[in-house]
Amino acid sequence: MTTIFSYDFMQRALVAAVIIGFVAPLIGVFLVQRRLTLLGDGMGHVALTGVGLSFLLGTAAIPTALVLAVIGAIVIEVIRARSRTAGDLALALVFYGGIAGGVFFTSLSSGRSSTALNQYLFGSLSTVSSSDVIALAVAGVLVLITLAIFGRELFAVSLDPDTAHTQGIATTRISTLLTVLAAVTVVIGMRTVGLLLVSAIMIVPVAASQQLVRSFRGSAIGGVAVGLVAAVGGLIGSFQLDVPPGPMIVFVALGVFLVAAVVGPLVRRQNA
Amino acid sequence: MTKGAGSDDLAPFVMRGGGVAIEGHQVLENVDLTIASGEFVALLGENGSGKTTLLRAFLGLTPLTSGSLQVLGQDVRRFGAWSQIAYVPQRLMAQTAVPVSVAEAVRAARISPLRRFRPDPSGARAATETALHQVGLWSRRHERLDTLSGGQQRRVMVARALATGARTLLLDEPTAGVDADSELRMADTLADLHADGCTIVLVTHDLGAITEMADHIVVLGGRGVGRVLYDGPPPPPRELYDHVWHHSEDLAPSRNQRPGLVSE
Repeated sequence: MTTIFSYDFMQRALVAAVIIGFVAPLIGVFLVQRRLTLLGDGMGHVALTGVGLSFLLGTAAIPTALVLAVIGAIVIEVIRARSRTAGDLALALVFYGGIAGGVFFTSLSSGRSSTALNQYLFGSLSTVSSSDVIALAVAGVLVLITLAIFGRELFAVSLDPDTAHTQGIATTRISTLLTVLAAVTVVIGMRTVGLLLVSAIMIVPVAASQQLVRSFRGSAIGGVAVGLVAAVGGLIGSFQLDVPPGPMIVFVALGVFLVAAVVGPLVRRQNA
Repeated sequence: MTKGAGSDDLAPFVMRGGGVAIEGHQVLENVDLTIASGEFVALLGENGSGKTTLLRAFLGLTPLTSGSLQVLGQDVRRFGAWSQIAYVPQRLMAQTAVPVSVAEAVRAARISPLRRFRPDPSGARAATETALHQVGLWSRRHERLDTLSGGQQRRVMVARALATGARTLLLDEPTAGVDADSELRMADTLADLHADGCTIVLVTHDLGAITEMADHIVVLGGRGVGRVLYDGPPPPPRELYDHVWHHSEDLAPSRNQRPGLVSE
């Protein structure tokens, strides 16, 4: 197994997987609490348009997808702030538009086939470049710094927006920040987990860890542990079986969730 | 009725001709109310009389559609010191999707944009400990909030309000569905705060032990639209009793049905 990571491309894939495995559950725990578990999927769709555009324009995929996803996040929050019902519809429109845009721009660009798009839909081991790794690391560190500063306020708003408001917290801005962080995280995950499955690495590790703990902090820390296990384990499985890493990472996370769901009630009974 | 000095003397809430319409439906109309510093106000009224809406208007959560509101001497739209006011909402926080411990729920009260770059973990820990002792739930601090009984969860919400250190507390039916032990504890806690000069505004359906401590009674009512029917010292006039209880018997705990009034 040590030989797997002697390949340069596997080392790069490993770094990329560790970054997403660490960051995604930290954002996911807030999405689960705010019942926005499908938001990551939507942001993935929007990022897809960015990938398609990058093919067409010849720009780097990660920054282009990042810009599109962040713009999509802000548009959704602006519409949602105006009306709850319009917000739901706006989400749907932005999401469908995102997928359509991705396929459309990819098809327009010469020399890029659907295989190229597939790498971003389900992740890819062999095509993570050094500059990709640097871009992912920068984005990951930015997300962590933002969490260090605003994490407490995100927690207060996700617990109860009304009482958070009475504590002087700008709840609308904090909600927008969460959507933007989710968008950035989706783009961080698109090289390894892929845009169609990246939401799973945000949500499933949290769903697994919360079976075993009694606190929000515990859910977040446990989620990171499961996220890292899933990312690294999935990467190894992907290499061994020669399949895209996205599905393997999600399988490992789902496996841990199943075990936690069975063991969880027993653990809780012992603690009670 | 004012106590203390300096900014403590500013009336927490002064509403003049206050009206609120939600989605075209008039909920509150022409409300004139002054909540003075240090008062213990019981806000009574039947279901749908706008009690919760009035609290939410006080908190700036629901904007006024007419009239004016001064919060601690400032127009509500410009007021920024919300951390001086604590709020215990009617609905419980327990339906959290992710587990939240009792201590975490209370400690969240100390989160503020003002402490964004210099968090105060020891201060937050101390405030959490004091507040949980006050409501008698310190020993349950590591437990999941949603494993506590309804009454205990309300005490956690009160502890959360206490942990803010705010001197003005708005509580929306803190005794609804609360067991007798929790209600007594809450009455003690609120009596202590009142004695300490805090302003308390409490929405309630029943005139139980807690309402009897009030020194200012406000009754909201009216046909479909909330107006102030009574604003003065206790007890409310007898002809308004129907407005206070009749339509809420299904909600008010039966053990507290009109206590203290039978003796009149």
